[in-house]
Amino acid sequence: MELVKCNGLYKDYGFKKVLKDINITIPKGRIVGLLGSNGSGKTTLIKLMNDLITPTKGEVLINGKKPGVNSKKIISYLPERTYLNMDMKVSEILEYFSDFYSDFDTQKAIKLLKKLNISTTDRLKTMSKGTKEKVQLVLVMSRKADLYILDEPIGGVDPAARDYILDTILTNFNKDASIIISTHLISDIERILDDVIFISNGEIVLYEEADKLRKKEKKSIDAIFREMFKC
Amino acid sequence: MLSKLLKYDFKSLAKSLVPFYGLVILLGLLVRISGIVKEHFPVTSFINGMMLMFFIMLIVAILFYTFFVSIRRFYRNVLKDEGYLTNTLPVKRSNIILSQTITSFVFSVISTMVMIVALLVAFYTKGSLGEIFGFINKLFIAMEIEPWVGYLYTIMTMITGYMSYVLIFYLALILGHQRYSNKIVYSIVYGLVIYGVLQVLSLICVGLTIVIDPNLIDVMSNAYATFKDMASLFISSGILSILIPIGCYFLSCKFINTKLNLE
Repeated sequence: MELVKCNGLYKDYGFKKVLKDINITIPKGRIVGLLGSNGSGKTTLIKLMNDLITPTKGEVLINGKKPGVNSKKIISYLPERTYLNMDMKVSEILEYFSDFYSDFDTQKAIKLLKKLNISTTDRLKTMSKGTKEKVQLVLVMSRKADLYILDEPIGGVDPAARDYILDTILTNFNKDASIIISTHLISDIERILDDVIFISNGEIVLYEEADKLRKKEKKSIDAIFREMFKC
Repeated sequence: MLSKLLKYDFKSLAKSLVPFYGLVILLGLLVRISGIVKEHFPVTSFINGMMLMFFIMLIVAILFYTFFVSIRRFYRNVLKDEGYLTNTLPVKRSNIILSQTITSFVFSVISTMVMIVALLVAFYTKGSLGEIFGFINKLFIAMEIEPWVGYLYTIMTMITGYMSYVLIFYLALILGHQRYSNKIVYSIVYGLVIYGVLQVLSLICVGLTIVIDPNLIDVMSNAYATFKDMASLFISSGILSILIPIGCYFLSCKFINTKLNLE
């Protein structure tokens, strides 16, 4: 069963065409890397899936339906920015997520935060950018969602913490669920990907299984990407 | 889910407003104390004057600050970075706007009450309340209006007026944020356009009322016209003042549902 389906999707920002005729289908149980250089349209595509912007033309379907209240119940979304109220304490944010998401596991979140040495009494405004991103990732991965959409989950953290974060993602998602990870730090995440989507100038230029692609090209995904998007 | 939204909107506004309420009442108390001290030690009248000045400034600012805080909450929570969370919660967007509107209204009532309490703390003397209400009642009677009707109409006008301004700001911000640049400038422009449209609607409303009740032209030129004489105008403007916030609410819901632009 397809979890995400984009049919002839276009998005313009004024005169700028950001996405052009996107047609993709993402089934259940896959980890998909949405890979592209800066400004290629990754975040725009993710925002369309999350109903944060509306398409100029075409449609996005989540579980066969247009994005709305029902799709938000099953999508756990990590944006590329800090989206939490800075005046809140971690404990208040946990309560917030628990109130709004019936699939949120507070105990799991507390356990993950403890591992990262983040106290639930800390206020977000006292934290570094990287720590805030870790808190957000913990919140997102503590839901038992059907679809996790992670926009640049490792972009703001130090290289030493990246493996920990990727392991957190891998060990904390529901096995029937799918994950879409958008990033340009391909070498760090390619080991966990089932499928890769290359996006360039708002167009999908490649969508293939990661292993098949590596075998076919006899290179890593990172090397293929560098070759394909050489400046 | 509306109750959960209300819970967090109340918490957020309370964080900004409760310390301000405390300050207003404290200053009211200081005005009272410094007033008593001044009677015994006239040399302290300067302190009393300063206290009084700050107190009056806070009393004037309290409703503006309440309005500002609730608009800022909407802007940050729905249209800026926090909007990435708010707009991906499994709740209807109409409930998000409704919750913020209700919260803003409730805090405007609380602010008004705090203002009255602070004024009483600072200036209350035995019989002063009776004098104030007696004066207002006389005013209503002079206008040939039952005092309770007068109070009801005044309160209703204040409520609908406040709600209209809150929802006009929400609508203008939502429309302005559909643009791809200069969002604040466009929000101001849309706000002015909406205000202009509402002024035209008010004029049309007066025109329609005159068509229905032609005597109104003579009444309006009469300086001694009473509430009773102008009842048709008060009723039509009352209905319009209820329809304006309702209209702004539905338009806000429509635009945020179909054209949200968190780019």
